Amino acid sequence: MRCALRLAAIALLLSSLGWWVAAGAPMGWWRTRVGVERTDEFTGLSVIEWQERFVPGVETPALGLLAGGALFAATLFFRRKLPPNQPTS
Amino acid sequence: MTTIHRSVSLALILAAAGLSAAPQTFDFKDPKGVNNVQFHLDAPLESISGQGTGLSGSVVFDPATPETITGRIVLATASLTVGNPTMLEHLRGANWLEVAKYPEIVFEAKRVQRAVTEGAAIKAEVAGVLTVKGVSKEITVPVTFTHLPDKLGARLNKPDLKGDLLVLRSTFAINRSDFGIQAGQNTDKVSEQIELTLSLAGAAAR
Repeated sequence: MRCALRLAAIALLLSSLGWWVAAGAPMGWWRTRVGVERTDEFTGLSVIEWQERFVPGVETPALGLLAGGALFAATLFFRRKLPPNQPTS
Repeated sequence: MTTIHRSVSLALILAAAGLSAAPQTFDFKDPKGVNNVQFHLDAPLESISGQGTGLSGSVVFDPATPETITGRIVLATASLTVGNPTMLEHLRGANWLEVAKYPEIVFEAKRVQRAVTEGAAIKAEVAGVLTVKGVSKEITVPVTFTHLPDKLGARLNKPDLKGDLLVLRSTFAINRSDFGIQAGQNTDKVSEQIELTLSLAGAAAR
């Protein structure tokens, strides 16, 4: 149980970090929409069109670190299971 | 008879010249949704950039006398948007633009201080009054006007529609404290200066 939780903590940390890096490691807050520029051919004017898309920000690896750290810390309260022949004292 | 004929011809010529140089009123409510104002502020982590597209208003423009430009451009504050939802909530909230109480940002052009024709464009310094969050301030902004005669129908894909386009471009900066926007506060998190870029096309149907 302890081992499984620790592995889960590491997986949480690595996945949140990996997700953020895969998104280009943006040095900003997360966004729920991304702007794409469109140009009007007659006037030459450009406008941003918003696409609804989640982009992780710096909070993502930070939250992954916090959650993984909390999960790992919780495993310290689990008693280590000893082999059957070992004395408990 | 010859004198009368010459007088009538002269009158017709003068009338035609007057018609072609008449000032036109351009409407800036864009059916194609391209008109926009983009804003940009520096911040320590990531600069804040966004856009507003709820533009309306009108400008009276005569290409023969560009120094006589007058007009009013209105931005609906509810149309302002940024990519982060929490930031958007703050932007529209009571501490920043207070969109519910101040639904419009208005620029009223009063006079042109300098107009120079450069090719197809007219570059001018336009003095007027900018009203943000209920605070009005006189400012002068550089504006580039490009008059596109007979392009309205082609732009809207309606060949039967006759009219002209007037394209306005401007980039200038304001200080948020001049308009009572978190004056003197959060200067370590959000820059005092707001850079604005206007990209507008107005239409005058004939």
